[in-house]
Amino acid sequence: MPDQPQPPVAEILRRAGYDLPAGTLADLGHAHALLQTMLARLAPPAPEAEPATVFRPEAPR
Amino acid sequence: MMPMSIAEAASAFRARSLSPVELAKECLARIARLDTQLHAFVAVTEERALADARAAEARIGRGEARGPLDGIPFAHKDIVGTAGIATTSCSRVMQGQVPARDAHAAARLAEAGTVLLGKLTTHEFALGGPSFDLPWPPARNPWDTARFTGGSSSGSAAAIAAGLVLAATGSDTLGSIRSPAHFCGITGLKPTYGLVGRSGVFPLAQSLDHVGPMARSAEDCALLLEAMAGADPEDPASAGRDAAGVAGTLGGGVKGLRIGVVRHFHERDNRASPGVLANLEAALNVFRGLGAEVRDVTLPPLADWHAVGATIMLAEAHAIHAPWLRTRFAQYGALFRERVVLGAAIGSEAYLNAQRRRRALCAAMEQAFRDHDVLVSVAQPSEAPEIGAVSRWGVLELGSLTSPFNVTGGPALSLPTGFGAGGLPTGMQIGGPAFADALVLCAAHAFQQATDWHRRQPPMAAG
Repeated sequence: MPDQPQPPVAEILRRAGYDLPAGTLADLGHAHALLQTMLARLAPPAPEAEPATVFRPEAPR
Repeated sequence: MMPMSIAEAASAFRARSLSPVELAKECLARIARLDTQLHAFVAVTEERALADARAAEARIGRGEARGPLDGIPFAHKDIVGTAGIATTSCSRVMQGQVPARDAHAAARLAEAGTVLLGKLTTHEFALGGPSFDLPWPPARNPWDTARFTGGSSSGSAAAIAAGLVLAATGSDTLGSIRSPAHFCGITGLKPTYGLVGRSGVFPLAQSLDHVGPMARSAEDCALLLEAMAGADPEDPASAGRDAAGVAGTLGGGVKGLRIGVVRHFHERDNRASPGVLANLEAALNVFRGLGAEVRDVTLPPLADWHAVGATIMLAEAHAIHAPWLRTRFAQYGALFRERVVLGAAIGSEAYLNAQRRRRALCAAMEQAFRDHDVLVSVAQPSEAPEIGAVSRWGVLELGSLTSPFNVTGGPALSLPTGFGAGGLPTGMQIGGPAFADALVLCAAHAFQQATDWHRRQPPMAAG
């Protein structure tokens, strides 16, 4: 997922069940860009910071 | 007679120099005179107010007053459910909804004897920002009616500042009590998460939502918190604790109190105006003069706190509204619907990363509280902007100075520190660790005993 380009907000909202007018979608395109910048600050914590909660399929069992 | 604090009114009632009916009538007259300009009320419940006031007056006359709130003119933000009275959240989606019973906090305040004057304007569904396409015009700032009140508890702050009521409920998800308190020059407390029950209050984002008191002073907020706090069996986040005795601890002073100033929040991360900054420095000098230890403290960048808070808020708000947004999109105001629909673009991965980052931020705040008793910053970076100039997407652009205490759930209060270059109020935020509500109120009360900013009133409210 991180390697794939983000789909435009119109497609995301269509998949979520919204059929919005073009004018609304144009405004939301700008907002979506701001949202992406904000979400970029929320990288997941390093596994060692959450040893009990992180799924590590590579770990030996 | 107005403006008057709760403590002053209760004292006058006891001395029989003022009656609850007289005070209720005075408030109703002020609403009739001023609210055509302010739009603080969406409904005035005059008959209910006079009935409540007469009942309080009879109790006080019999020597059976229920406490300091008995006979106090009050109003609720219109997301707070009130039995038999329409509760609209200022949205067409909820227009005409009449709850069968009071919200938990409203019931507790009614039991304490408050006199219900009506319901107060909120930004639609408590998401801050003025809308001009709803049946309810946005509330106006009593200091300058061309200016924004802050929000979303907009009517609550405007009504208190203008002396239309003595106190009101507010709600706070990323700052909706503290932002309007700053802009309107009043005092507002976001209590510790879970201390005040939320059942019957329309949610915006359940893991960030708080209900709290707004009034002229910290002392009044303490009296209100005592009544509002308590176990709420229908709120899964209820802490099951009360706030008994908080008002009695207000006189403890701040000598030796360790105050941490999160200077980078308002000097670098979201830089405040010179007037706001100067007033904060003056306030810190007041604390120093009262014997507090004031020093700087560093927390993670404000943008991190805000990203966590805004992501969680948008995702949770969208989850609440999605069924209606998909079928009744046009009934919502444009500002609300276009912001909240964006929550559909926040996937589970981003939401969970926000909650995980939230834990790390809470740990950082806990670390800061090992060396400090309370933390201080400005509450908002500027004086009230013009109401038509409020940024539509500010929730995504700017680091909210109030959001850190929604992320942690700790108590935080905004109180007036003076006036800026534009002649409008400025405020300071005092925050504490979870369940240190009494300490936060005590610090604010000490400041207000040494200053009179909280007693100032807008010119339109005089006379």
